[in-house]
This record gives sequence, structure tokens and C-alpha cells, in this order.
Amino acid sequence: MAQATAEGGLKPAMLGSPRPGGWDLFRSSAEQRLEGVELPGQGEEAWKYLDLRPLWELPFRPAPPSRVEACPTILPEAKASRLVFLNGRCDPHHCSVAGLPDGVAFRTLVPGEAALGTVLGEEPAFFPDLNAARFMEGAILRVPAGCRVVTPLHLLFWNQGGEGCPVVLPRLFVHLGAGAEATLVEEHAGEGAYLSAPVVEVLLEEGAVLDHERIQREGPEAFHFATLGAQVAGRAAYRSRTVSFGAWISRQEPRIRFTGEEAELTLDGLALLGGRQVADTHSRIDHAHPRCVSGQLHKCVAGDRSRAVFNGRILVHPGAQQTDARQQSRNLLLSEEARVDTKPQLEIFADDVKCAHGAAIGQLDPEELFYLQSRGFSPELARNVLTYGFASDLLGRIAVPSLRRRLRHAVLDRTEGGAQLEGL
Amino acid sequence: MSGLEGITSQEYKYGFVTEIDAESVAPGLDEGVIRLISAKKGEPEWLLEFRLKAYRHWLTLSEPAWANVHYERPDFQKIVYYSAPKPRKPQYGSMDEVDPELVRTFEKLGVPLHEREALAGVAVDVVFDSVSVTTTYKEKLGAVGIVFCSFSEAVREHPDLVKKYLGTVVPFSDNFYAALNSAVFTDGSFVFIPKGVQCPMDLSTYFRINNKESGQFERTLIVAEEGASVSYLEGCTAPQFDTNQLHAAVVELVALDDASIKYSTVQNWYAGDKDGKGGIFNFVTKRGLCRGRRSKISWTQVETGSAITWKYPSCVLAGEESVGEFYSVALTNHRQQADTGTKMVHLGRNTRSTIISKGISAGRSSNSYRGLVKVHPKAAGARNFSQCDSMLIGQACSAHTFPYIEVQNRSARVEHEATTSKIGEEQLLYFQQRGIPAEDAISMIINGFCKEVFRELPMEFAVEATKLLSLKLEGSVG
Amino acid sequence: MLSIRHLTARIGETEVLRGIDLEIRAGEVHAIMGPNGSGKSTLGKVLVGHPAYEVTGGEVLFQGANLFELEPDARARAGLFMGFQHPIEVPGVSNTAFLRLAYNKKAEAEGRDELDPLEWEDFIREKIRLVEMDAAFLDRSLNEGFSGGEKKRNEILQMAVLEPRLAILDELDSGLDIDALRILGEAVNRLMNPDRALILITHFPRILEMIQPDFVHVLNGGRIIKQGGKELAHELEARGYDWVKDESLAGRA
Repeated sequence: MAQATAEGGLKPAMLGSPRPGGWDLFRSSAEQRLEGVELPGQGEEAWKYLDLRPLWELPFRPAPPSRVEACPTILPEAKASRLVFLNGRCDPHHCSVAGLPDGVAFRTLVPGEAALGTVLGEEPAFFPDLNAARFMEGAILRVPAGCRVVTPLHLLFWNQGGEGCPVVLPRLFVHLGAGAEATLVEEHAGEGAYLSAPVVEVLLEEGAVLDHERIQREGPEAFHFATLGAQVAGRAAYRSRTVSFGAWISRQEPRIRFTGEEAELTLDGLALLGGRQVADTHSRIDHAHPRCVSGQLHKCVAGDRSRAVFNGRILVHPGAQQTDARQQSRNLLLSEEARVDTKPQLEIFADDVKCAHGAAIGQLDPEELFYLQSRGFSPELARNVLTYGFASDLLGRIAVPSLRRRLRHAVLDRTEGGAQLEGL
Repeated sequence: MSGLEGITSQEYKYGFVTEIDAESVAPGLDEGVIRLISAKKGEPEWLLEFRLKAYRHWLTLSEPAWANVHYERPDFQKIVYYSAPKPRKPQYGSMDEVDPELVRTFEKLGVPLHEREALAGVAVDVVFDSVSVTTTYKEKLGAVGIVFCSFSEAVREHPDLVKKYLGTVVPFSDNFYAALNSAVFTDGSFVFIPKGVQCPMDLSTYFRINNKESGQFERTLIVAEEGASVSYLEGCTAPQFDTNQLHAAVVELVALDDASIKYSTVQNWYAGDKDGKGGIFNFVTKRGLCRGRRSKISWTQVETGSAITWKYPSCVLAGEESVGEFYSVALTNHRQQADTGTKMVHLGRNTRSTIISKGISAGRSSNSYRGLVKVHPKAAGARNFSQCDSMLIGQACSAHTFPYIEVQNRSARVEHEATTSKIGEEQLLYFQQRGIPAEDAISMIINGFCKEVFRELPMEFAVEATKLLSLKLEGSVG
Repeated sequence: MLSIRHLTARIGETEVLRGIDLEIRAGEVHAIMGPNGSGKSTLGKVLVGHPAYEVTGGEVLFQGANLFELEPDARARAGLFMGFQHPIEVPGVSNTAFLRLAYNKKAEAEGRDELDPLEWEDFIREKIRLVEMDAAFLDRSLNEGFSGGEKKRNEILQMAVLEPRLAILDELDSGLDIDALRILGEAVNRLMNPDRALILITHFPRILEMIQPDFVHVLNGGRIIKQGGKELAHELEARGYDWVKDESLAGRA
């Protein structure tokens, strides 16, 4: 009986719904894997810091189709390279894809298309398996070898809560051929209470370069459980930044694997939390080949009664000599009730490597506060300036200017006394 | 060409067995065995009850599986839970009654039992398998009110003290091995430093496992009252057998207001041979409670032995402004596996902790640091700094770092840093090119890597630790 | 002092020295020059016993003894020194402790008295003056965080401490500004005497203005393709390496 409660209604509600067409084998093997898997509990090391009990009692159901009058967000740079999904279904009315170079595919997946699941692999995992079993429609970005897409590509998943707790399962497959380059903005947003469990697979061939900006600003009552798998081939570069503002309970689970030598990875993250939000980032980077470089900077600002969790695992496999892996977890606690749990983790099986990780949790640096005060800032203003600086520092690296501006404003909105800091 | 292949691995120096008449109970564990141990020691009823409660709780537990170590689980019914050298008289009255074979054993180990030959300024309690053989300088320490004796003697002579503190830091329900230890512990050391007394000499316990089938389950309890201070050292060796012996100790430290306890360990249990056959399973629970304001507990460990090490000397910082420290060097070679680290639990305001961990892996070994820094909501102003460095020697070993950081107070400041480095042929050649032989080069590099920890060790231990590390690494570079 | 005969060596599967013959007598300064990848650093590393290289043929006699029968540290104690192009960093080991140990090992091998810490202080203070090094560098970790120039200065300090019979200086001038080059050049000159010899491995002839060579050897493709006196260095400065390569190709054809 206890098991049935722990599992909650999520899995039965989804598996009990009709299976969408296409990818039959892929879907049925995910269903088989789910037979042995329950909604994760805190007894599992990987879910130690994330309490999913709020999900137990909810009357989940597959999300119904939804409509919006105007497109909720528009990036001027991507006004003709935009795909919009409403509750997991592509809405052609808001999509605008024109003038992309020949051979570039940026559209919904044709049933059966793409080798879904090949990047993530077959290891059982609750949310990705649920996604595989029942996702409605998927998106694909395919860039042929040698092709540089200059225009940023914008992919918006807009979700509408409602009766019961609608479940949306967005799916995205990104494939860049050898030497191809692209910038992709993947944005998840919505209103009301719902659950979204997106799965993104990224396949970069030799020398490909992808800038991948990921924005999570789901509605404040929503749940968001994202899984990202990426394979980065020799001399390819994958630069990913994830900014999380939204959702009540959210989790980012990026798993990056180098599949060739001298590849490069940036995996940055920023979580800005307030209220009773909980945001968990659980990353894994596999250095399986020599001479790859990875850098990960993860920042959390936790206010009110929020809770930030970071678990970053870096594995350096035997033979991955001259790996250079750096990881930093930096956390700022703004209130008495906020909480941070962080676990940077290094596992090294090769001797000629440079690996370093660090974690810092605390308040603002008293030296910096003093310096600003000595220049005439009130203590409060000094604190606000430094808090803003802590969070916005990461945004400076975002490749799309209008998005960068928008996110900076979002940070200002969430910073106390932000209006005074407009010019920073 | 590097000339290193010729250096052979140093044999384990302490691997001999002492032929001695021992009184052992048959292997296996049930309530009868526990009653027998308790009866042999003439224990009071409350202690037997403590043991039985622990045993019954242990039966409900299963062995922890979360550590990054892999081994065949011991069969707890095949272990001898009590083995003691037969005394020539029922109790050791003076040194003359100790079996001369035992005296020779400890001389060989460099631990003379006679006070006149003992290290100047260090009082020693010597534990052989399950019992304490002798304690030196007891009278001298007694003169200033310090109690330093075997645990069994403390139960007889100071039952109130033992009853007051036993299990208050590590309750029998704490974990699988702590529960087992609480049920079957046989001896260990007891230290009590009364209010205001600075212990005039280092106190030390030397542990020796001799019996092939026996486990060692010692229990150490150190209490420092208000303003008291003590430095305590622990050393350990075991003979070389091709089976595994279990060592599951519990150490509890209690520091009251302004008290300070420094606990240093050089652990050199038999590590098994180079293919991983034999060696000690070292599953130890060590915890200190900084109960008083401004109290301080400092752990320093040099872990070089054991086939498997599972050990997290911890500090519970309850008193305001109390201080916890953990300095560790863990070296693994051949097929050794170590999962070791610490827990710093900040409960009181303005508590501070420091963690310096140096892991050295060579051969085909696996070396993990696992640490928890936890700041409770009431621990305003808590500070922690952790530095965890790994050194890898060769391509078949591995190094792992698992720091857990949990912070629930905004005014806390917690910092963790970790790096990796290696001793490579380039580095060695540089030394050799300047005329420094490979052995000296390794020893210098290792010393440089570990110096923040070594400088925390008492002088004679630091020298020993340095030598030990170099010996353990011979033949592993190149 | 040093006789190299038909020396060949490889790293992995690659032949890097393909028959070197060289005779060095006491009191001489030899410059080994050549373009990048010509094998000049390799020659130095093979002589001091770098483990990455395998000697495949030929022999080297150092003061009459077979060099390859000695371990790298024994070669050093016998009086062979190499100033490395990229000295490694050793965190946690103090520079002065390292130097004293190296000195005492050599003294022990030569049957001289070792220096106690006080004598050492006097001795090393004297030596650092020679290379005009700030004494603060003595207490820092060996080469850790040193700039390129500081590392080179430290290499020459080590040479001054160990007083080798034969010193091989690999690209001493790289990473040095003009003042530092002058200081270290003078220091090396003062360390030379008729019983000692010097091999300068260098890509640029600039340093040869400071330390005058008696012989210049040009290496290419693991062979000595041209030899001459110090005027050869001037010619290389003026004309580069290509003409020597062409000449050598023509000679072989």
C-alpha cells in the first residue's frame, strides 16, 4: 500500500492514457523500464535533497490542447526562426520559420524520425521514461555539416495549467553535423499548476559548436523535471547556460558525455529562488576521452523559504589523460529560512589530469560590502548591488542580446531595491 | 631508465604472529556470548543491559552499502568475539606478571611496556586482541586527578563516570558497526581529565590484533571537563594473515566548556598483500561532542593500512564558539580501498570547523574522501573551510571526492576546495637530475603534499608518519 | 669529458636522434642550435636520462664511464647538470629544502661534509647573490607560481649550488628579459673554469653574445648537419637555418 502512495497517480494516469503514434518500439521499451521504477523518493542518493511528496496526492492527467491569443514571448533576433509548443503540441499559428539555410531542419518531428533515446541511453529513469512513453509531439533542430546558422533559433514551450494537474512532456532532438554552428534558445514557461517533464537530446559531431540557452520560467505552482543528454564529439564545443526562475519544484538533470578528444564544454547554471521554491540541479559530466576541457559554474540565490540543491558529478574515465575539469558551486542565502545543499563530486580514474572543484555558501563578502560603503553606498544599497552582481554575472555570457537584457530585468525585478539599480 | 623498477616494495614490518596461550570463546555471536563477555569482565547489570539492547538493535540493521568500497561481507558468525592472552595470575598486578612473550612482542613493535624504557613523556595503554595488557604512568597521572586506564578497569573503578558518558556521543543505534561494537566491545581506553587540568604528557593507546579469527572491538571514551586539555595518540598493527579480520571500534570524545581534546591516529593495520588478499576491515565510528562553550576537538589521522577503511571522525559542535578540526592523510596502494572523511555538524552559534584532507592513491587502489558539513538553522555565524586534495600515482588507481554541504543559516560561510595532482616521471626526473634518489624524491614530494596535516601531529608521530608513507609507496612510481 | 658516439634514440615509435657524434673536452663551451623539432632538446634529455626516451644505439662516455649505466640521480652526482627549458613546479616543497638536500646528496657522494642548516644559510645567501635572486624565493615552493624568468634564475641558482662538471642549459634565454639574460649569462660565465664544460642548447643566437661558444653544432632531423666555430652562429643569425638545411640536403644528394 505504501508503494502505491509513494508512486502517486502520475505514472498510472500517463500510462493509462492512449499511446500517441510513432516510435512504437522506443515507447514500449520505456514502458517496460517503467515497470520497475517508481516516482523517486528521498531514500535514493540521487534524490536525497528533493522531496517529491507534494506530487503524491495530485490528480494528474495528460494535458489537453490549449490556445493563446498572442505569442507569450518574442525574441526580436528570432522573429523568423521560432517554434511554439502549447501544452506539448506545436501551434503553427505562432511559429515562424523562414529563411534558414538550406538543409537546416527546425520543425516538429515526423513520427518515427530521429534516433530518439540514443543520446540518453537505456538506463531506467522515471521522468525521461515517462516522457518517452507518452510525449505528444517533438521538435527537431538539424544542421547539416559545415553549415553556420547565424540567426538564433527560439523554441518556446508554453504550458497552461487547469483542472486536475495537466502533464506536458516536451521533447527536443538537436543534431549538428561536423563543423556546424548554431545558437538555440529553449524556453519553458506557463501559467497555473501543471507538470512538465521535458527531455532534450543533443548530438554534436566533430567540430560542431552549439550555444544553448535554457530558460525555465514555469508558473509558480508548476513542477518542472528536465533531462538533458548531450554527446560532444572531438573538437566540438557545447556551451549551455540554464537560468531557472520559475516552478514550485524543479529539477535540471544534464548529462554530458565527451565522445572524442579535445572537445569543450561550458555548463553554467543560475537559480534565483524565492517563496517556497525548490530547485535541484543534478549534473553529470563524463570525461571519457583525452584532452577535453569542461567548466561548470553554478550559482544559486535563495531567498524567503526557498531551497537550492546542487549535485555536480564529474567522472574522469581511465585513459582520459590531460582532462581539464573545473567546477564551482556558489550560493547566496538571503533569508533566515532559506537553505542550500550542495555536493560537488569528483571521481578520477586517470593520473595526468587537472581537476578542481569548489563550493562556497554564505552571505556577501564583507570586504566588498565595506568597499562599496566606503564609496558612499548605504549598507542596503551595497547589499542589493552585490546581490544583483552575483546573479547577473552569469547572464553576461548569454549569446542573444535581447534575451540577455530580458533576463537582467528579471533579475532586477527579483532583487530588493532593483528599481534603483536600473543602470547597472 | 628511471631506475625505479628496481626498488622493491617494502614488506609489512609488523606482520608477525605472537605464539601465546590465549583464552578465546568459540566463534559466533548470540546473547549467550554477550553475557559471557560481560561475565568475564565482571560487569555491572546496567552495562550488560546496554550490550543486550545494542545487540537486539543490531539484529534489525543491515550493513551500510553507500560507501565507495567493495568487499565480501564478513560472516559475523565466524568471528571470535573474545580472545585474551592467558594471565599467569587472574589479573596483572605488576609488569612482572605479564607473559614475557607479550613484552617481547611490544618491544618488537617499538612499544616498550616498562615505564623506564618507555618513550619519555608518553603514557601508554596497550591493548592486545580483546584486552588491555598494561597502562603506564598511571600513578603519576592519578596524582593530578587524571584517570587513564583500560576501559574494563574504568567500569570497575569509575562506574559512575562511564555510565554518565557512555553512548552519549555515539548511541548504540547510530549505525551497524557502532551497534555491533556496543554489544561486544571488550576493552579500550578511558581518559578523564578533571576541571582545569592540562594533561602533563601525551596519552597513547597501542592496539594489536594477534588472533587470526578474532575481531577487535575496542571502545574508547575521553572526557575533558571545563578548561581541561589532553593530547591523545593511537597506533595500531596486526599480523599478516591471508584472511580478513574485522576491526570495529567506537571512540567517543566529550569536551566541556573551554576544554580541548586532540586525538591523533597513525593507522597501520595490515593492508593485505599486493593482490588484495587478507588485511583488516577497518570500520570505525569516531565522534567528538563539543558540548561546552569554546571547546575544541581536533582529529588528526594518518591512514596507511587496512584492506578496507570506513571511517569518519566527526565533530558535533553544540557549544557556542566551539571548534572542530579534521586533518587527514589517507594513503592507499595495491588493492586497498578507503572511504574516509569527516562530519562537521554545526549546532551552536559562531562555531568553526576546518577540514584538510589529503588522499594519495597508488597501485590499483581506490581512495575516497566523503565529508559532511552541516549548518543547522540556529548556528548563526558558523564557519567552515574544507580543502581536499588528491594525488594520483600511476594510471590504475582512482581518487574520489564526495563533499556534502548542507546549510540552513544565512549567516554561515562554508567554503570547499579540491584539487588533484600527480607524481609523474617528469617530477621524479627533475629531482634525480639534481642528484636526489627516487626514494628521497618521493618522500619529499609526499611530505610537501601532506605538510598541513603532518604539522598537526605530535613530533614523534610526524616522523613515523613520514617514514611510513615513503615505505608504503616504494616501487609504486616509475 | 663527454664522448658521444653514433647515438640514436627514439620516443615511442619515432626516431628522434639518428646518429650523433660529439666530443666535449674540459674547458669548452659548445652551442647546439637548430630549428624547432630538430632534436636539440632531446639530446639533452637523453643525456640526463629522461624516461620517455629509449636509447637504441651508440654509446656515451662521461669522464670515462658509460653514462647509460648510471641512474639519472647518479649522473647528476657524477657532475652532469641540465637546466630545463620548462622546469616543473612542486607545490609544498620549499626551494631551499630542495636545494640543501640536493647539495648534501652530492657532498655525501663526494665524501665531503654535509652542511647543517646554519652553514647552509650562509652558503645559499652567497649563491643567490650570484644570480641576483630575491631571498624570498628560497622559502617559496619549488618553482610554484614562478614566472618563466624566475624559473630560469632558479635553474642557474641550482647550477651554482651543485657546481657541475658539465652543464647542459636548454633554452636558457627563453622567457628572459634582456637584464635577466645578462645577469644569468654572467653567472654562467663565472661558474665556468678549465675543469668544467658547458653545452648551450638554443634556438636563437642572442645568448651566444653573452656566453661565447668555442664550437657550434647545427642539428636537424636528429643529426648534426653542420659544425663550426662561433662565426657560424653569426651566420645563422644573419641567414636563418634554411640554407644549412639546403646545403646538407645537397651534400647528401
